[in-house]
Amino acid sequence: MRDLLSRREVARRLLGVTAAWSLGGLHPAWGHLLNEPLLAHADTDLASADWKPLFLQPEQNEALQSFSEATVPGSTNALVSRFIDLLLSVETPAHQEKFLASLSAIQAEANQQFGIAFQKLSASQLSSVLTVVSASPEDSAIRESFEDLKEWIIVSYYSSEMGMKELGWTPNRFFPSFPGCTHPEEHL
Amino acid sequence: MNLPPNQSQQLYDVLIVGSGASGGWAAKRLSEAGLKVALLEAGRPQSSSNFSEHKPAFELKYRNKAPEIMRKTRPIQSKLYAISEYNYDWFCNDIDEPYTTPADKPYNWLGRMRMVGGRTNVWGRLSLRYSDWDLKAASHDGYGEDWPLSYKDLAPYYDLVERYIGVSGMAEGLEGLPDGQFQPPMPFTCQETIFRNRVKQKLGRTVTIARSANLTKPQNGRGPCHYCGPCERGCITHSYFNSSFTTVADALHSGNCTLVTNAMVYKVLMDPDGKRARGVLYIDRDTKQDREIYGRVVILCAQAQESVRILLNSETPQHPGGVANSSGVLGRYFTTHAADAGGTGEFPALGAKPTLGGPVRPVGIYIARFRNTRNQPASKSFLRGYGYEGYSNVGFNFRAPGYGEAFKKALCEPKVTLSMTGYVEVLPRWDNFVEIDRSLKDTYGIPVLKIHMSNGANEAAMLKDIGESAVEMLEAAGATNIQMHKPRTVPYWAAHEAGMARMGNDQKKSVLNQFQQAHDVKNLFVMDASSFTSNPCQNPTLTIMALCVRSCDYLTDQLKRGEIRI
Repeated sequence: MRDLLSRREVARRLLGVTAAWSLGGLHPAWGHLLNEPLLAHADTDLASADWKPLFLQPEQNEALQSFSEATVPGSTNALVSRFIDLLLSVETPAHQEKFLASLSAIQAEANQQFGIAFQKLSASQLSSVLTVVSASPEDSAIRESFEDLKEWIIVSYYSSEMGMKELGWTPNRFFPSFPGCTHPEEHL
Repeated sequence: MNLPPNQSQQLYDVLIVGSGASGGWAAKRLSEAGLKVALLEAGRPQSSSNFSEHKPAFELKYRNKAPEIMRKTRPIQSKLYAISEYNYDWFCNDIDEPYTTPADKPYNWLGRMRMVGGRTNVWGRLSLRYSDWDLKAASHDGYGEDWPLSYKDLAPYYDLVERYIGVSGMAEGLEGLPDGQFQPPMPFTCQETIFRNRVKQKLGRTVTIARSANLTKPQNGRGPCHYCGPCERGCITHSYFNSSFTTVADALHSGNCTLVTNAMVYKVLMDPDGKRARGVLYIDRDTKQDREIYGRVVILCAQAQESVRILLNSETPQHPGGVANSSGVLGRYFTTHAADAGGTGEFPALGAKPTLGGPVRPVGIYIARFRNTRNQPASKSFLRGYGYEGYSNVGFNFRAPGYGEAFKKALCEPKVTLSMTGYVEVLPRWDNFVEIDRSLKDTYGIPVLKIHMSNGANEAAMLKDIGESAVEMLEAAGATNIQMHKPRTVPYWAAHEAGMARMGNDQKKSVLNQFQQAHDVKNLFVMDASSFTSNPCQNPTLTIMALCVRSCDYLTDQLKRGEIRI
């Protein structure tokens, strides 16, 4: 049996929170990491050979898969687009609509630059699109769309087993001590 | 379930309702004193087999449909940070066990546990003493009532409880936050050390490691903390205090305690003349049948609102408006802690690196009350004071710009923050109260509570000061990117409820005496936080336990003297 840290626990550690935990103001994707029922068996189900999207259209899923891999390398192997689809399937209509608007905006940017669908861009074309959108002014609509999608991807990738291991996770849950401050001058 | 063998005839010396912090102690103390005890718990038995702090998510029962299940059955309880699919069936079903509020006063009654151990299964474990600044607050500032006992009365019981439950912490020599019998403290991080030293140096305020019921060395067969993180899902090494594997286990081991689980207590049964309690009526949660159980003494430890609900539902011709309510204050002076406002700042990493592969300290830091105490200037805008719970974190920089491998590299640049949240005493006021809502019963046929709670001007002023003082301390410590957390628009209160059956020397203004014995019914005690005369800003559980043990010793003495018939 694998000894996995739950995504909820991952969320706690990633966000650095303990008691009186509140997600107010955070991107909605983080909230799903609290949702153990949703996440139970998610990794197994997502890897199924006959997987079909629950929320996204197939072409949207393809675009998201390309965008995810370019934004956070390794996302394809971690099945990030499938996991985001799972989260969206239980999201509020407002968040679903916002996600689709963000994805459409990025697809439109790709279409404007190269005249083809996002999922058909070459690696250099992808890089070109991402360079433009990630460097756009912070208050621009396209930058907002990029950051919105990026956060969905970050949450999904770094709560997967692959992403967790990349951040140092190991199956050992027993630690003999907590390393405190050892500076004799105590920073005075 | 461990039902009494011959329920209709068995007469126990003591009936105890509730097996949490106080009920567990009462059961241990009295059964070990040789009394025959029945311990009634509304929830299920607890055992290590239910603990899941290391359990992988893929072993959980529910899949994609479960969010609806959890929210449909626990729309209130699911708002508590400590609930998850791992443990949500430890909490009450909000639909089966509702309560009401006025439309303009929403109140989240959180942490309604239905397991042996009660809230100690999921509590935050902060274990802080009260001082005479708290117990005699009315004498200091003229508001409300003093407690009918002082620190010297409680101190030996604090000692006893701390030694047993195991409280890790450090002595600070503060008048307002007395030191205790501590196990070695968990260490500060570098950032906390900076914060602690500079805040003390520049502002004279004390930042200490949270005094927490987590062991740092072995005790009574319990192992020290192994720093895995989620105590609220249990602990296979029994390193945090949970009454189910400590006090309740001791009580059962005595051979004098019978545990009755799934027993939803409805009311206290009174003698025909209304002078003595003779038992309780409870509903078996499995069969939904009424059952009676009899005792010479009845002790309510069901959680503050639950115990008061039982008393209010126990009215008789001799006790209109609820048993032990000749004063008319039963249900009144409901208080809790507003857990809100605060601040966050960033600190240098000093070599620390973020990782998911390291130990997690289960406690944070605590900033002791500094308003309206002897060595700090009095506030002009509010009475009493507040403390902060805080924590520091070496986190990943998920806000790192860019994409691709460059983003992944930037992500691992540590982002070190220190945050704090204030805990405010809600002053006991007549107009914060609970009553029975006669229009609604729970699934067991028991009339429910209607809860009236709001913050007043004093709390609002304190919450404002909490944000401002948090910024002041973070600035003093040299933090950057400081953010003030303003109070939420919808009030948020911690599950630190108290009052409603308060202690006092004046029978016309209180329900219980200083030993948590009902003024009106000498063989009836209420040993949870509903007995509190006020609700000092420190977390209440340690005091709940110390008071309970003190009252149990009084009860034992009274029984020996024949002051209470047995």
